Amino acid sequence: MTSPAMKKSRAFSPWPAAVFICLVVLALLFLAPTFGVLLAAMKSTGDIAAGQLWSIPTTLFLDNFREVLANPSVKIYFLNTFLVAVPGTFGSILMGILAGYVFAKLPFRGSNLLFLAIVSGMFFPPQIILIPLFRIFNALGILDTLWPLIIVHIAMGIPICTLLMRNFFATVPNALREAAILEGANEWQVLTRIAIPVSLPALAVLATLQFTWIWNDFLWPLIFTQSDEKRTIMLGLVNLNGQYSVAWGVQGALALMASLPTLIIFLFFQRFFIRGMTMGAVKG
Amino acid sequence: MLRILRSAGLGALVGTGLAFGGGVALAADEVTISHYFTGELGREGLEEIFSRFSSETGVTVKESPIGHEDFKTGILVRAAGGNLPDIFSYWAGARTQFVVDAGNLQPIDAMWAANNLDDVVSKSIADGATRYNDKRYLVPFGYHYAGMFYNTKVMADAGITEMPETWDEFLATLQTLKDKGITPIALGSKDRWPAQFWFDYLLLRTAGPDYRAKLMAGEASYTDDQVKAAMGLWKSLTDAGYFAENANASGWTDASDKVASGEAAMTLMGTWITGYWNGNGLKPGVDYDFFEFPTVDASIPNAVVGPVDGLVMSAKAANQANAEKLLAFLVSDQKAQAKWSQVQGALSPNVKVDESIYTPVMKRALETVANAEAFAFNYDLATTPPMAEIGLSMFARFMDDPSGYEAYLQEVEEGAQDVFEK
Repeated sequence: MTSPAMKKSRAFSPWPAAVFICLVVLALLFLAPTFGVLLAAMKSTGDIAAGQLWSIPTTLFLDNFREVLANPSVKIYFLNTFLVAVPGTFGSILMGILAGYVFAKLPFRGSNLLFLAIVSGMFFPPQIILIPLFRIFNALGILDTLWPLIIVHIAMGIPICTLLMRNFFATVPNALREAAILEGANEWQVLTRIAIPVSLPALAVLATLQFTWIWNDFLWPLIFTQSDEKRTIMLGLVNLNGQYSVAWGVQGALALMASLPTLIIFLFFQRFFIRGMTMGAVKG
Repeated sequence: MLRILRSAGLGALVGTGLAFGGGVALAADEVTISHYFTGELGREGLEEIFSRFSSETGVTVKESPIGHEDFKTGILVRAAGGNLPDIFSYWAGARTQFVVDAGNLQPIDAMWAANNLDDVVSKSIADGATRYNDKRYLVPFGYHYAGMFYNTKVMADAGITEMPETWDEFLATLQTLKDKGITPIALGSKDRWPAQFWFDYLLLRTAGPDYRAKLMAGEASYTDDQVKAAMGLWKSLTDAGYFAENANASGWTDASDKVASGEAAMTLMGTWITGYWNGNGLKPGVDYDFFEFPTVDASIPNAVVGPVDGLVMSAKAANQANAEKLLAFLVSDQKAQAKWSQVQGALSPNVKVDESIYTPVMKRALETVANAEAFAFNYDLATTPPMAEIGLSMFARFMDDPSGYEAYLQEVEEGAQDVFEK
C-alpha cells in the first residue's frame, strides 16, 4: 500500500529519465532507415537525385505505390513468397517440436550427441551446399518450382527449431508428463494435450523468426527459381533495378509493402515474443 | 494441328524428341534465356522484342531475368549444376573467356556466317568482343562508351568554351574550374568500379593498348614503370585537389548528381549516365555533353573504353536451332536493336541501325567509338574476375590515400602472381 504522502516524498531520480532519453534516441536511430525508405517511396527519382531525400515531401506523391500495385508480377511475387513461407514455417516448427520433445523428454543413448549434431547445422554457411543441392533438385526435375525452397527452408529451420523446442520442453515439469501417463495417456497425447499447449510462447517466437527469415530470404530463390512466375518478393525487389538504372522510389514503395506481412506476424505474436525468447534460454 | 506436326518434326530433328514423345516435341518450339537486363524499361523493351520474335518465328521465349550483381552468382551456380539456359547474357571480355575455357559455351561461327553478321556488326566490336580461342562465341547486344561527361552551364560560366584535347589543356581546364571555386571532377567510387575508368584511360593514353592488354592478361607487371607512371599522373590530379573529396563515400549516381547540380563540373563515366540524367529531366547536348579523355602522348594510338553486353549460347543448349535464330534476330533485327538502344541508353553494335534514334550526345559517342583506333574493355571486364577484385580494391584505396600508390602496386603485383600463377 502506497500512501499519497509517500509518493510525494519520493525524490526525483535522474537515472530513469536519462535511460529513457537514451532509449528514445536509439529508437529514433533504428527507425531512421525505415523513415528514409518511407520518404524515398513518396518522391520521384528526379527529386531524390536533386538531393531531396531527407526533406519532408510537400505534396503527396503516390506514383511509386501506384506503379508497384499496377505491376502484375508483384502479386505473383507476394503469392509465391506466402506459398513458401507458410509451409516452410509450419514444416520446420513441426520437425522442431517432434525432435525437441524426444531430446527433452525421451533421451536415449547418444541422444545428446545427436542433438549436438543437429544444432551444429546452424553453424555452417549455406553457400557450401549450394551446388550439391542445385544438382539434386536438377536431377529431381523440380528446379524452377517452389518445392526446393520449401524443402530447404524446412531443413535449414530444423536446427534452430529443435534447439528452442528442446530447451522449452525441458522447462515443462516431468511430473506433468508422468501424471498424464499414469492417467493412461500415451506419448502422443502428452505431446499434443500438455506439452504443446504450454509451449505457445516458444511456438510464437519460432513462427515469427522462421516466417521472417523465409520471407526475407534471397539466396535460395535466386538459385532455385528461374522464371519470373516463380520468383519471390525479395528477388522482385532487386529486379526493379536496371542494369545501370536505379529505382529508389519504386523500390522503397515495394520494400515497405514487402515488410508488412512480417510486421503483422510480429504484432500478432508480440505478447508471447519476449516471454518466449527468455523462457527457452535459461534451461540448457 | 499443323503446328503440332511441325513441333513434332522439329523435336525429332533435335534428336531427343522421339524418346520422350510430345513433351519434348513441344519444347522444340521454345528457347530459354537468362539475362541481367532488369528494371522497368529494360523488361518492357525486351518483352516487346521477344514477342515480335515469337510472332515472326513461332518460337516461344522463356526468359529468366535477374539483377546484374546477383546474375554473376546465379549463372555460375547454374553452370556448375549443369542447368544452363539455351542463351544467356554475359559481359564480353575476360568473363566470357572464363566460361569459354570452362567449356560452358558453344561456338557460333556457322550461325554468324549464315546470317552474314560480318556485314551487320560494327567491326571494332566484332573484332574485340566476339572471338575467344579463335572461335566466335558471343553476339554483341549493346555497348557503352566511357567519356568525360560535363555540365555545359558550369563549363560556360567558367569561361571554358573549347573542350580540352591534350593533357596540358586538360590541366588548364581543371585549374580554371578550381580557381572559380568549382570542384572540377566528381567521382563516386563507393562500389569501386567507377574509379577503374581513370586507371584504364591513363594507362591506355600513356602506355598504349598493347601494353595494357599484356597487363590484363598477366603478361606484364603492376610494378612496371608504365603502370607507375599512369598512377603517378592520377596522383598528380588528386594532389592538386581536382577530385571531389571522399570519393569512396558516394556512388556513381551521387557523383552524377553533383555534376547535374553544378557542384562539380565533370565525371568520367559510361554512356548509361545519359539514361540516368535524361530520366531526371536533363536535356542531352543542352544541359550536359561529353569530351574524350585527353591525349597524353600523341604517338600512342587512340583507344576508347567501355563494356559490351553480349549473348552467348550454352554448350548443352536443348533448343540449339531456336537459340541460333534468336541470337541472329537480336543483333540483326534493326527494330529490335533500335528499341534496345533507346530503352537501355546503349549504343547499338548493328551498323545498319538508323542513327536518328540517338540523342545528339549518343550520336557523338557512336562517332567517337567509330573513329577510335582500338576498343578496350574496362578494367573489371578486361582482366580475370579474381584479378579484377584485387585491382578494384586498389583503386578505391588509392582514392582514399593516393600517397602510398607504389606500395599498393607492389601488393597488387603479389596478388597478380597468385592469380596468374607466374
